[in-house]
Amino acid sequence: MKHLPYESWILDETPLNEDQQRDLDAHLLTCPVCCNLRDSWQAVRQQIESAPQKQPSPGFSMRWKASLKDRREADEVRQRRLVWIWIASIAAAVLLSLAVIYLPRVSFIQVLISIVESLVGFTSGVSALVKLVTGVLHTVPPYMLVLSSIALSTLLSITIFLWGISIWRMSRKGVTHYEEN
Amino acid sequence: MAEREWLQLAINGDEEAFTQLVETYQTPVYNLCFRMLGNENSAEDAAQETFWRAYRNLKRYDSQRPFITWLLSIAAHYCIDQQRKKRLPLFEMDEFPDFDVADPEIPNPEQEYKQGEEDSALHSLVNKLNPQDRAAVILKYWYDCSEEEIGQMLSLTISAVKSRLHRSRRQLAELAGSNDLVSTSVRRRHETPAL
Repeated sequence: MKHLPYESWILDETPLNEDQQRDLDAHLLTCPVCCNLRDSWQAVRQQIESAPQKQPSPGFSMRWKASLKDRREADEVRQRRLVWIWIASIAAAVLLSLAVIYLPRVSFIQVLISIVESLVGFTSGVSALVKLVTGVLHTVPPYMLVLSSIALSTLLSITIFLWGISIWRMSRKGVTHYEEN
Repeated sequence: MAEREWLQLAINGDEEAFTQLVETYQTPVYNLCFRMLGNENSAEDAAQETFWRAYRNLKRYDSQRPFITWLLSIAAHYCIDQQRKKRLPLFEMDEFPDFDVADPEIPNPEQEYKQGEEDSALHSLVNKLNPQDRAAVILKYWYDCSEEEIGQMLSLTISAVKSRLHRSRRQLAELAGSNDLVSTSVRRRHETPAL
């Protein structure tokens, strides 16, 4: 026996015109498969529609509010971790591409030699700088040295003071923010 | 205060206003999560996570859409993901009925138990559907959503929603037929309270 389009009429829940309804009713009288399908679907639908809305246990919104701080912190940690993963990935990619570009051209010994050469160059540069500074200090008159050290220490103190104030203001702002919460 | 005003305050960073929205919509969101996941603990976690995701992405909310539709869409997507992740079936202690001493505050323990039994029978039926089909059925019959709304919420075309609903109804009817739900549901309607 053909069940189309009756199955669709039963399951799609589309409004039927008079002819279709009459046709379906006649079919249902003779077809136990479609009759079963209709009864089963109507029973399920009735069960679904009679099931009440499930309520959360009391204090749901308070629990949500209480978890907010932890969720924010976890989110910040996750974001920070993500940033570090990005930085590490970029660094690894750069190193890998440099290695791919340069390693086939130079031998390992050459790499070692250039590292040692760079270190030697760096230390000789530092010692030349030290010599230059001590030479300048010997030629400058003593009162200039005193004046410049006073100016330098004043500048340093002002910088430290301003830095301290901004740290204090930032920490105060944070405390007020959490108090408001 | 109207929902729009609460929403505007929440978008501007007012935590209290968002808590008010949580208070207003906790039941529909929790109910969707419960119907999707089938146990109270998972539903609580999923509903809490839904509100957190909504709070975090509040600036992306399109005010042309009803707020509840947006919330339900987040909840449905989250539950579908959870269901897909859950490969191994786990038995939760909550699924077993409690046989503790009756709580005097519960007015009718027998009715509560029956309701629980029906809920669990219904859940075991709905649970057989795949997560996206289940979400479509829940939104259609518990929330009275149109096919267009379901499509928007689940990111599906209307024809996909129609075919999912058709397939789900057939599957549910066949399962109900084989589980003898039809005769059970008829018997329940006519049985005496003592039985």
